[in-house]
Amino acid sequence: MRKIVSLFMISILVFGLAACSDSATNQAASNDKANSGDEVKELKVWVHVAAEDPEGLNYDLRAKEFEEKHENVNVTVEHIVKTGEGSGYNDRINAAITTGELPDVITLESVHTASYVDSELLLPLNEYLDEATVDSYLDAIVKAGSVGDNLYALQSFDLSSPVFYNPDIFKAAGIEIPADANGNWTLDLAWSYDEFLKNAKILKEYMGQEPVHMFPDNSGWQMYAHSPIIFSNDGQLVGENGLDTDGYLNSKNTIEALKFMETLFRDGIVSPTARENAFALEKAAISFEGPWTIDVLTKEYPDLNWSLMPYPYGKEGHNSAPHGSWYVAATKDTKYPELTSELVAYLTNKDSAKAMEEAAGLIPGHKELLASSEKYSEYPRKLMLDQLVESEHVKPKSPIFPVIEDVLGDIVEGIALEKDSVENLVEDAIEKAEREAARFK
Amino acid sequence: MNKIRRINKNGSLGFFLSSKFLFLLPAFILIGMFVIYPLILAVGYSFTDYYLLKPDNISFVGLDNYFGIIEDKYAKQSFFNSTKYVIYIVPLQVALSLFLAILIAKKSKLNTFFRTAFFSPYILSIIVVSLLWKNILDPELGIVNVFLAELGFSKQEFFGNPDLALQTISFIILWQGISFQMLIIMAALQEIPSSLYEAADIEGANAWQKFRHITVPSIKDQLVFVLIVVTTGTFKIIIEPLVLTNGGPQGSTSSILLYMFEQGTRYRQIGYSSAITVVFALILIIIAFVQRKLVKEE
Repeated sequence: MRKIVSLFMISILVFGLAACSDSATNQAASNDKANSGDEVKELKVWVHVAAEDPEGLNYDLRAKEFEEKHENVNVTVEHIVKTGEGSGYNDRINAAITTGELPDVITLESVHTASYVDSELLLPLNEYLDEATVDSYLDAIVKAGSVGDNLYALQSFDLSSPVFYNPDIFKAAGIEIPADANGNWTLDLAWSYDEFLKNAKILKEYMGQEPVHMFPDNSGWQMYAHSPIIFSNDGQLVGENGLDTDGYLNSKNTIEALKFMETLFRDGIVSPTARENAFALEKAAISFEGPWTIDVLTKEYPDLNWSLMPYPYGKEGHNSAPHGSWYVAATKDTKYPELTSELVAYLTNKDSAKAMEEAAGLIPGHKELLASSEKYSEYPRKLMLDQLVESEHVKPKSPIFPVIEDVLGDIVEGIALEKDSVENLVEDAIEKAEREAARFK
Repeated sequence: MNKIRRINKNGSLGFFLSSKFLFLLPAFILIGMFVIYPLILAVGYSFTDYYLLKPDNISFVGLDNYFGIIEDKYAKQSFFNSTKYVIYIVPLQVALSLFLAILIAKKSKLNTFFRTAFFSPYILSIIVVSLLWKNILDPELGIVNVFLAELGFSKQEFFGNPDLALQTISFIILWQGISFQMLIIMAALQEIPSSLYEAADIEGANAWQKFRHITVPSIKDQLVFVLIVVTTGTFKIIIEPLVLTNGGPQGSTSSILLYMFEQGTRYRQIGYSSAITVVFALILIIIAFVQRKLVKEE
């Protein structure tokens, strides 16, 4: 029995020492700074990307620089990789919210900012950052990170999803590619719904298969990449309060936009099932893809002739294109609001923007850098930048955003699978969204 | 030691000081921490509007969450899907496990190979199995569809077709789970005295009669165990639909647990999610009780 008790005590001691080891390292660093006499301010940052990821590396580098610029400040960046819904990073954040142990700074999907603000978890950065600092970011970033009159989250870069097209197939099918004086397909030359349909039918006849590739399944992709098709027709998914879907999701404009998408599937323009690498393998002439596809096509399909075209629009003059990414925010749990806000700005500053453009080809999120951007100064990439700067439409600011995202996915997937009429799919979606919204009213 | 024995005889305190209890203590602590305590919490939360992002703002809502489940067609769809999984998987898994166990119960080199081969899927993680089958059944590049195309059949969307996705996932679960049940039945088969079969041979019994009157009654307890484990296990399916289809298309593969998980983690409605958990736990208890009762009465 004595042996068992001894073993038990030793185990506790070993586990205890092991648990302390990580914080002990940080503590040693703190002690060095504490020796200078002043209080050491510890700031914790949780990010969703791995330390080896360009974004992860960037956060580490900026944190280090921030420490060097401030005496008696320690910044610890913890990389908790997001592995899926309810796991990894999100799981850790949920647990920290429950136990009231959120770090000073977190990263979050910009579209979830409203629900975090609704729960009073985030710090309004504009109260601590000067106007010049906030103004240096692209309007699209400030809009996406704001809820009401306050700014809660920032990022050094943004994404805008492009629509790819194959000029060779277009020419072979006899389609005239719109171009400005410099031969570029600019934003103001975007096709309307009708022009898109007309040309897609020509492509279909030439190719003998669905000429346009879209991802039809229910995922966050629908909100990111396909909701702009609805927004460009002045359609909305949810009202200003972020809770009412009745009157918005079933408005005339939204239904009209969804019917346009229905036509794409019904007329055999888009395949109801995702076709892997359809564009790269020239099985599709137009493709709605992520911006990372540019790198894939450049490296893996060097012989493919590709370019970018603007998103089709519904109502004249209402172009809309995807944007958004993970943002950085300060939490209300921080003991040092001013310093933490400054850290958020530092983690997303111009140096970060430059680094992320170089490392990952992301659009720099600071106005000052746009003119000097090497990657985004020339077409076709410039079109992505123009889309972001000129035609962004902020996604719904809603405490029930995950539900709104899901119901849009349900609708598009239902359309693709011919499950029901657009009207009935929308009514089902409203019922689901209203049920969730009722908990917040 | 003598002192403990004396207390044991004279009062219940003795049990807690006995070595039997001390050996069980770690298990009691773990069960208490990871089963009893969460269950009590779930029951408690199921009567509240606990929203994950507002942990300090919980109110009592009575039976609202439970009424919510009745009105929630997506919850009902998930319950219905879970029942479908059980209908597709349980009878087949029990029958095939029994069949395979009988086939390879006898000791021989060939059977040793088959035992290893049949058991190998079970040692793979569910996620690995799911991803493996996702590749095998890929609509464009999967070997099954390539083979179908070679034979002149049209390619199938095994996971993208709402009429096929649930059956496909059921098949994968069946494929992986069958070997473990087979092993349990095989162990039971090996415990049947060979004298029973020898006596039956002398009496002139045929294979079916031996199976019906000797094999099945001898392994009845193990079969009941397998039946209960497979039924409750099938009701608890979550990882396969999560990895393969995320409950889609159109909720056609979502299970009760997956729906509960989605409500809790994605929508952050812990109160509602807890109510689903409680209903689910009750269903499992009732099923296990009924199965046990029916077999006992028989």
